[in-house]
Amino acid sequence: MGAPVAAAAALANTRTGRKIVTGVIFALLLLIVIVITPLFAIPFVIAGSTASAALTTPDGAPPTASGAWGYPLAGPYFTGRGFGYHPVVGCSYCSTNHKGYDMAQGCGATIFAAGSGTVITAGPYYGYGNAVRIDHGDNLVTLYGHMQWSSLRVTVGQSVTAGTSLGAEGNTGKSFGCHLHFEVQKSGTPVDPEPFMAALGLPLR
Amino acid sequence: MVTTQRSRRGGLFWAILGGLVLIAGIVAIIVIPITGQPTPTATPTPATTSTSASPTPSDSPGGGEFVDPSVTAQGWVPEPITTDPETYMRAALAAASTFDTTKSSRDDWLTYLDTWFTPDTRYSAADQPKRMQSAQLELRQGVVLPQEEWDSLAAEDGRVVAVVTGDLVFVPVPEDPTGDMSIGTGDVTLTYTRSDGGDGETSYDENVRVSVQVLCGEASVPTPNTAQRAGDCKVVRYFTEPLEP
Repeated sequence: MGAPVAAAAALANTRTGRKIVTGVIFALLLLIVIVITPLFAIPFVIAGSTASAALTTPDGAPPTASGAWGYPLAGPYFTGRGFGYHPVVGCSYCSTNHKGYDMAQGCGATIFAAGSGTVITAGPYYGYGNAVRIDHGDNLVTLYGHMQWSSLRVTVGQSVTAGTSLGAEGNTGKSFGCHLHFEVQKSGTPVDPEPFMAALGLPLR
Repeated sequence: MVTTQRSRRGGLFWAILGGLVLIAGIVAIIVIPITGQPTPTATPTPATTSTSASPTPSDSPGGGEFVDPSVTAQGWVPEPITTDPETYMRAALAAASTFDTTKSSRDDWLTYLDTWFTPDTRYSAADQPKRMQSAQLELRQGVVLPQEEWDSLAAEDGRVVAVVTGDLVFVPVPEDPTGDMSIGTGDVTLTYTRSDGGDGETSYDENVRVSVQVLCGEASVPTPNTAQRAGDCKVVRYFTEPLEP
């Protein structure tokens, strides 16, 4: 007991000794920092990744779900052209047949997968601009069009579930004004998304 | 002794420097995920790409003379010089939706389309200029791609090539004693080509059914200072909806 105390006293009484003590203390602090860094760094990294994928939502809440399906947007939204015969006013050279259902929350709003399945398209897709298509099996495909370039959060082959963020609402492809073109295809043919979603307990309005 | 002290000071300096670098690295690991922007997913391969050269909309039926063949450089359809209503109608229907947003503005394109027009001879000479202006306004406001859609296409360096497919359906023009005017309705395939957000392009087709009224008779007013003559076909008006018999 007396020997270590004497040694410490001897070290504290000399310039070299004080340097050694300072160095040892510094090394110990550094060691402690290195050891405990993963304890808070890893949660931060995970939280950061989650925040990146979440993009922007009105209140951060996930979209309303009904069973295994949910809305492609979280919270209230504006509606545009519905399915079927919807001519563009003031344009006889514009297609009159609208194959989907237009919804909008604003540029950058997060678009979510409506149901579980496999991503079969993630990128430019004809007039749909930057789009995602999800194969839900049983010849059922949902399409999410006009998303912002470089906003996609999924890749082809990826499995998703309802509520998986796909990208950000945009104005790419044949579109004027940010909106989501939500399309439902059955055996390759577009069907009206309104009765389809209503039958799942998720009425569009 | 002095050498030993320098050596110890040097060792301590490097230990402190190494520690600072380590701490900076740890801080960076913590801060970057918090403040960093979402990393965008790499843009996948386009569903359809086109590397073909700019389309040449001068494939006018008949292959005859044109009022100004050089307009193809703007991505426009040249106006044919012909007395054949069907040949002219096919070109006119294609011209109203063939353009390249990288080569001209919408206003310039519409000003060019104005040169295809001739007055409607069913009206008095005093009314004809006003009627023609109304038809040209109708073209802008009810027929061709609206400014918003043009801007959207221009934002992606887009272009459209229109081609009339199939037969035309003809409808007589009421109250036209000369019989020189006729209305033609046809299916038009619009091929849109636009940037895919990267270095490539994506193309897709849309189909519309549209109508145009033309005058192929001695009362037609040719484009000045060109080879076009009175009697050659000119556009009287485009319609906002297809006119079927």
